[in-house]
Amino acid sequence: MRELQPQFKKNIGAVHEASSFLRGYKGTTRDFLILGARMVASTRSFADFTPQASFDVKKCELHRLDEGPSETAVLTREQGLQYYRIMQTMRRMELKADQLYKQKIIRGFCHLYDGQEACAMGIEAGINPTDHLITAYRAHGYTFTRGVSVREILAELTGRRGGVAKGKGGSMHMYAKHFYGGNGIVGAQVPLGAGVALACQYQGNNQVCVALYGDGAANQGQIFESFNMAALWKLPCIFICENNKFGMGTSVERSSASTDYFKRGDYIPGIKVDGMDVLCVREAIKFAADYCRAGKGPIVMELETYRYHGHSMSDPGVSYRSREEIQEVRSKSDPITMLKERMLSNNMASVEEIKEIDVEIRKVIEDAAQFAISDPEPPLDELCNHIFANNPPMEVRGTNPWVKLKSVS
Amino acid sequence: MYVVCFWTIPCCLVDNINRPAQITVRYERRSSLPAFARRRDGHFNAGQGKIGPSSIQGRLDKRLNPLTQPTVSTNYSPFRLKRDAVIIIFFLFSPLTTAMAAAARFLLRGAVSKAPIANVNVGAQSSFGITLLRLSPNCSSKTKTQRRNAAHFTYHPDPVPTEYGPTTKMNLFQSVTSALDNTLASDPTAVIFGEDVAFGGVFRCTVGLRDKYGKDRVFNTPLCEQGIVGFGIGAAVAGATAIAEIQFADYIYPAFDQIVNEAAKYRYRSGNLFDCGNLTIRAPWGCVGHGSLYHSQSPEAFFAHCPGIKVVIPRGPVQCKGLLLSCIADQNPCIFFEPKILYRAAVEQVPTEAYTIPLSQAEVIQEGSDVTLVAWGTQIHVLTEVANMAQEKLGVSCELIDLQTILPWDTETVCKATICCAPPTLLQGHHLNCSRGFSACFEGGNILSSPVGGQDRTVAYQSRGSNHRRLCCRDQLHSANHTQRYLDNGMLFSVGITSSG
Repeated sequence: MRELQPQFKKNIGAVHEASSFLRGYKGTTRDFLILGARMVASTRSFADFTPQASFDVKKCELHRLDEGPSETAVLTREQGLQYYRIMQTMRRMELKADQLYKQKIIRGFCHLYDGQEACAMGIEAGINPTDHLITAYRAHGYTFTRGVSVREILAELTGRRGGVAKGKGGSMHMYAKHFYGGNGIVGAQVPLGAGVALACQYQGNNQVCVALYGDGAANQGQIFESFNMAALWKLPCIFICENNKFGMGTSVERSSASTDYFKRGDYIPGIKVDGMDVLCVREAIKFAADYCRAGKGPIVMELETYRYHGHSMSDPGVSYRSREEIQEVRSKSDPITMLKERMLSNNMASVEEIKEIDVEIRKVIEDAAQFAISDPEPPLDELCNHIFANNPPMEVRGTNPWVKLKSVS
Repeated sequence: MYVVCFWTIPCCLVDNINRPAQITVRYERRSSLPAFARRRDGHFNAGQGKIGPSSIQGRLDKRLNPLTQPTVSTNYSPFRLKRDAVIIIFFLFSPLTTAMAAAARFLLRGAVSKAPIANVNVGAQSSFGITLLRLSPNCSSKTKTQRRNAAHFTYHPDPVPTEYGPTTKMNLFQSVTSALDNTLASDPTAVIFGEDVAFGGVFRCTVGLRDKYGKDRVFNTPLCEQGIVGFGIGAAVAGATAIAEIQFADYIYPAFDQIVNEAAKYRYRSGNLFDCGNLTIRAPWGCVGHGSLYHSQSPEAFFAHCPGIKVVIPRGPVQCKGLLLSCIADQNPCIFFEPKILYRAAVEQVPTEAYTIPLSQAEVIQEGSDVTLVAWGTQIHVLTEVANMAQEKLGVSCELIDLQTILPWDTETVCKATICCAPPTLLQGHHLNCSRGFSACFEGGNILSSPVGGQDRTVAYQSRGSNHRRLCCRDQLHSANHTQRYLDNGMLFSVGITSSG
């Protein structure tokens, strides 16, 4: 199992503790109660569960590649629970953000990621925490997988000082170590990603940079400029197009002459991946990361995915697609349901266990929301901070020449 | 249900008492919170209606007929009169509930603590400024920071124009639609393109045009601003009247090279053999309260130093339609910025026929003798309020000038107005941050540094020991949270006037 971000370790640790304690223990119900809230209320012992299973994943279409990612993926029980927990947390977090927005506690712009959780989880599972990632404005999922807690994300959405960007960034500008945001201008993050990849190559630290963009942004000129530079200098950059079929309200057929986004790199090899299957994404990104780390240059991936919400909170999402379509995707290809069914049908987890995880996550989200609502806003004297990097504090002219504000960096 | 109504109506009354007469835009409410706990939203934020999906696109599926008017009610609509009558009756008989409702609302609003704005000012003059702040009925510093939903100005509509024929009530985006409608009807070469213009645009400026004129004249482009403007330049050079839309002015920067290096220089570099005068670029402009970094920018200053293009910003629907038609007719590439906060809020009687308002002519909205105020776009309405306040409270008579065309701007009108003030006193307002504003070139009274300055009158202005101040937003970037504080309020302008004598 790849090295995890610390917060996930903490969550999984509890399950580990319980499972290792109980392995081979066939006790009474009373003994289970002694162990407390973290206990899985199941009468089956953990020895009954399959420790790992291998699944077939959809074959990826390839462009300029002879071999593609592996068509079977091995999933261990711990991994499965971990992925489930993270994806479910992302889903609940986005739904909570939706709720808070409708209550006008979150304001401004809010682009929700539910439906696309498999992309963020799969990518995180396939790269190291020391690799770099940059994405566009639909960034809450990636902020979470890159190590920021739900509390900080929700507090940032509500604009409070406990937020990850101290309340000054908002929905589109969340950052973390090795995570460069969160970018509002469509397509502008891709050349940045290529630059980060150049830094990785220059420093020789064997890291890759994952630069994500959407199907709408795929028509921006700067994407092609980045492709050229990355291919020319063989930068370790994985360009990923998250194709959720709609750029705001415009479907891909109406906006793009070629909807094969994985082929848009032309001279850059491409892979088309089923973005609703977390294992398929994981295998593909592992393949791509190995390709880049071997020094073969950049690679383009297209993740075919779907978003349940509209483009942003001001878009109902049903004026350019039908409710039936959304329902169909939800019932047939929901990433969380798919993973859950896989695990249950292969006896890798029990229904109670999954329910327990759900309950825990609900609590975490509730606490985070409470924090986000009750935390104070950033103080007014921070209004002008961090405009420039300046050693002695700088004076900033206010709205008239007699108002001087302080800027500290 | 009865209890809910009982609480609601006194709240409405208290609300009405506190606010001056304003135009309000009503949307249907969907909220699970009881009425007294709902925050009454600002009246001018186009994107923030009541609780529920805000902004324009959220209402598309409800608007089956795109050409129906939005529900815009003023304070004197019949429904409100009747309700107000009921309110008065309730108010007379239930002062206690009114007070309780007001208290409840106050507590709920003030639930989140915010630092008072008074801490920000430093210096001797600021205490006077604070006093002035407190004098104003609606602008006490404490409520400003706590009441984040309130807009920062009152819209002042123009008088009904009589010289252009019959008029109808239109708001700003409808006046844009009307202008484009007139253009497409009269000019067979006119085409409109941009992101999402086909269904009507994210601000509904092009609603109904595709159905009326066909999909080869009103069409969508992919997400590529550089491509849109470059394409527009080419179409204009070839002879089509190209009207390109950039979805937000904040996104115009990828097209900056095309505008400055191609469009502006085309005529000059070809020795008048070719030109792209048929190009007009339209973009929503300016802060809107919730736009944060990338939906609030006012980039006219970047273009103001580029000879070869014209930059125009209207203050209301009547001006908007006339100026837009002038831009389209003008034989130079024009950039037309539309204040997005006024799209729904600004309602006037606008002529249905085509008419033009001359470019590069500033309009003197109000005559005065002591101070000259120059502004454009939304700030005109702020400064109108300021001018009135200055007259009432300080006895200062202000001349208010709407620049309208930023480039090339009307130096004559401004100079004439300023010189007539003794001592010459010029105040400019714009809601950009100060190092970026177009009038940064005015600072220090040095009009000669502006791109089109250097005329005799400007020399005279400078040498008379002019008194020039510029009032604008704080020099920092919009952050999502601080936008309401970023926006100026009229009282600070007043401070400026007082201090400059």
